[in-house]
Amino acid sequence: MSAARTSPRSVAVPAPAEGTGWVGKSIPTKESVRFTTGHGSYLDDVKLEGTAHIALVHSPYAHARIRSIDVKEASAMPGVLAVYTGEDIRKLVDPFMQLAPPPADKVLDYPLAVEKVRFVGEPVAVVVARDRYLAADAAEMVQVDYDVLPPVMDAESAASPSAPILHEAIGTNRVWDGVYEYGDVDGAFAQADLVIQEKFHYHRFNSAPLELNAALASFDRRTGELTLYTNNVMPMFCMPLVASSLRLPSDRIRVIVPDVGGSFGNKINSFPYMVLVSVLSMQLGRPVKWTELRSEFLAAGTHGNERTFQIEAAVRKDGTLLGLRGEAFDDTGAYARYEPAGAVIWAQVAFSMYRHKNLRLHFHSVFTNKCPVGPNRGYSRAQHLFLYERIMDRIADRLGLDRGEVRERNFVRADEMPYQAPNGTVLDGGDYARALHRVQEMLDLPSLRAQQKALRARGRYLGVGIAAALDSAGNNFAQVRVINPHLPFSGNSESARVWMDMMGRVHVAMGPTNQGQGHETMASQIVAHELGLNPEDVHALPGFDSHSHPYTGHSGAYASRTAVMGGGALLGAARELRRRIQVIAAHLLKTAPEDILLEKGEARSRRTGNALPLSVIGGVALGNSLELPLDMDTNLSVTYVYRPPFRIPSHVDKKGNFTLTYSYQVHGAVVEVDPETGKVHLRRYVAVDDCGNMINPAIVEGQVIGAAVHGIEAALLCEAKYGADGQLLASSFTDYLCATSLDVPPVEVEHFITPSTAGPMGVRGVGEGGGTALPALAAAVEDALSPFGVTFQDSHLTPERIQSAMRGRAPTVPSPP
Amino acid sequence: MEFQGNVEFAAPREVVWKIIRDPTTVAKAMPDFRDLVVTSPTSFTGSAKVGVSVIRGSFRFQFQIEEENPGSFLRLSARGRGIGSSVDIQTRVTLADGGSPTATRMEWKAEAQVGGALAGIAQRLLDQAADRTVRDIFTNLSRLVREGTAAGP
Repeated sequence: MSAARTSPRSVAVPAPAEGTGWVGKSIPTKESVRFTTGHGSYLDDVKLEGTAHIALVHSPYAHARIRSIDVKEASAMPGVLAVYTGEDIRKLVDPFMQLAPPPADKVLDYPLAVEKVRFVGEPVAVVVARDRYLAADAAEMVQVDYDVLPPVMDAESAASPSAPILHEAIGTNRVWDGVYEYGDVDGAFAQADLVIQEKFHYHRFNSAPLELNAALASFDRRTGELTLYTNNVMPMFCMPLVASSLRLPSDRIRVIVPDVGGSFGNKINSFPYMVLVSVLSMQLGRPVKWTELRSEFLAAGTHGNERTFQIEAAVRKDGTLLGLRGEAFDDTGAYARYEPAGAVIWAQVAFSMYRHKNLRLHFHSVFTNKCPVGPNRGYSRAQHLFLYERIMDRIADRLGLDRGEVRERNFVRADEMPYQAPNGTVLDGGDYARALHRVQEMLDLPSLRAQQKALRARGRYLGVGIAAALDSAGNNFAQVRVINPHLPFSGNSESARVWMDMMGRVHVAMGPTNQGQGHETMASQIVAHELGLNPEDVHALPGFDSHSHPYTGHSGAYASRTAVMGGGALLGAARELRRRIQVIAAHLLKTAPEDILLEKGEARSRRTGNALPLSVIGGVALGNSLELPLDMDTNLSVTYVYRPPFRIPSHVDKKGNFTLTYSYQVHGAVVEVDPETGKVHLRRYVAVDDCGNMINPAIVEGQVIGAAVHGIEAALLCEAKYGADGQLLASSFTDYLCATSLDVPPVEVEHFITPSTAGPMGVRGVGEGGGTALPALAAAVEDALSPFGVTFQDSHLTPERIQSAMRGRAPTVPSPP
Repeated sequence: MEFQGNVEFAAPREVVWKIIRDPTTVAKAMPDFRDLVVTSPTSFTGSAKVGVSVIRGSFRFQFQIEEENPGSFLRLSARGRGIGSSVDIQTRVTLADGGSPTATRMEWKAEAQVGGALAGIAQRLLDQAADRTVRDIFTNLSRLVREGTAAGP
């Protein structure tokens, strides 16, 4: 998309015990060849004989009771195999497990709406037909009669007792609420020179993966085994939900994830559709496929958490933030399919990058008549980090201080690392102030200020905004016990299998799914590094298959975790395989295992210089094994599970290590705002990131640029906007606007490398970027329009919003003619 | 969305009433309307082609006369479904004597609620499209009234 100027520093990785140093090299991604030459194999490329296709019938209402569904006409159409309503499906499956504690655990959530519809786009019936087109035509003929109910469209009013109730079974729109309190908040406010009150709104948006959700289920009535092809990126979170909903033993479910065309978290909540195609395949005895339409993805996929903050900040005259207190309302949408996890995930970054000790946040997660929310790049943390950055800007503006100086005054210092925040989370290294200075240097702030002044005199408005954020990775699932102490989840782990065959070739398989982040390359680099091979000589299995790939219940692509969790597993497996190879080679070369060096595809004795190619080691161990003593282990397949040393946070004080690593980023944006049209022109964008040691710096750079562009488009373009009547006003790409290369200048990236004190190999997860662009752009637009004295509380900066803020205002320093 | 307007027909009230109360003539006035089925003295169904921007397809409508005062007042509800969308329209029509003894003045007020895929583009485009359709309906009605008058009561 955009070119980037970079100057990656040399990468400090622990020297490998043996072999060639492949970790830290920007080798081209192995899988990009097939992706860019049309040889990728995505879900829709999987073809099975006799496959039936489905089309969904969606609710046009935000909130309504289903009076009747007439499927007669649709059922009689040519090529139609069956039509099922929500009521039909309800009889065949169990509702999905709910994460929330009582009473929201009683919510009944099924693949299709039962009795009521709760958001526009909610599927109410499904047509199964010989092909996709016949199914779509027949879906038009399904007649649904509704009694329309008043919708609940914002989180704050949803929480009020007089609001209409979405889920009568629980009698409230509350999913969860709880108070997080750390330090002496009231004491901090008593000492404050200034209390700032603000309200912020983080808008609703999601991502735009090229490939949409899809699934192909094939139930074999002979074996009773269900094979589920899916592009769900957390298949081992999805599988137990599918198994329990279908009442199918997990040993009868095989999950296969082929290449995935992007997810950004949005492909985690697709499990209702997975259950649907599976039950249809079981009913009809043939494979059933679903490929989502863009309009379905926008209306009924996953939206990011929309959040409102009512907040007070206690501040000293010098700009020191003493404490924050207030309320946060998370608009969860109509069903809690991953929620209320978002009501605790933010606490990974509860204090952001700042040293203040006192925080009280009453967090509310509520149902509304909108699309269910779930993970979206920066899930639940970007919202909170936006709050912090905007507060820092407010502190500076109110006290007449420099926005950068205020951040610097409040940043955790490099000499305090690793730093334990008051809620128990541990920042694992970095120099935040230095990163800020570097961004200021890259932007050449003094000359920008001069340019800004000169342009203002001519009635043109240039602005600069700088924001910082944490990019936390490798979450501790036990944090969900803060919201529900009975949930059977904790920790995080990943599994990798590294094995050598009898020809001496090395294979790798692991739990994380690859949605285009270069996992095969990264895995090959780590294994090659450890075994003295070339990454080209390591075969990393594509995709995920529960029959061939190892996994744990935490496996998947989320929380920027693969470099850290997958990396730890790969390292463990490769090192154990190396040890076993050394033992066998030592026997054959009549030396000690410690004397064996693995290099260039050979096992060599350092002492004698004698060497054997790995093909001989594999051949002897697996095919000619009487050359080895019977008590020698000839198993050259190693599965290793990496488990970081997390503990279970207390749900009483809500303290604990909620995540493993904290990359950080500082972004700088230069914009010009047209005060008449409200249009924001992004003129320059710079980013400094520090994710510790990099396994493949080019992949890191792609992630940093991707996250920046994602945030830029979210700030300036994308919004899943709803009308007061509950209608989704951005139901296609004509209204849901994505950035193109014309909207985004080249993102200039620099890397700092402060090895992580927590992650294996000194690596931190990277890729979500903490949504840094949103506060950076809000700050830049405010800076540009500072002569007009306008401020923005929203994360979405449309021309319309800017124009309306500008209405009736004139610049304080009148521009000369 | 709300629409309202008035139109004067060069025909007496009983002629205009007969035309607007007759599903066959109403169906003729609506652009691209087909498959009319009169299901009861106060209800009828049919389908119409709808197309706004990228969303095009067929809607199936159910009409119900909710209230009537022959010769002067009619309340008609229409409920349409199709292409993943819904349209619910409440129309009130009042007839009064026009400027001349043989003229009838008709005032109408319609409230439409659009749901689903079409609603997304409603704000920007639907108003215009609906405006055009409404104009077409009344042009057609005027023509039908003229033809009806020419054919005699």
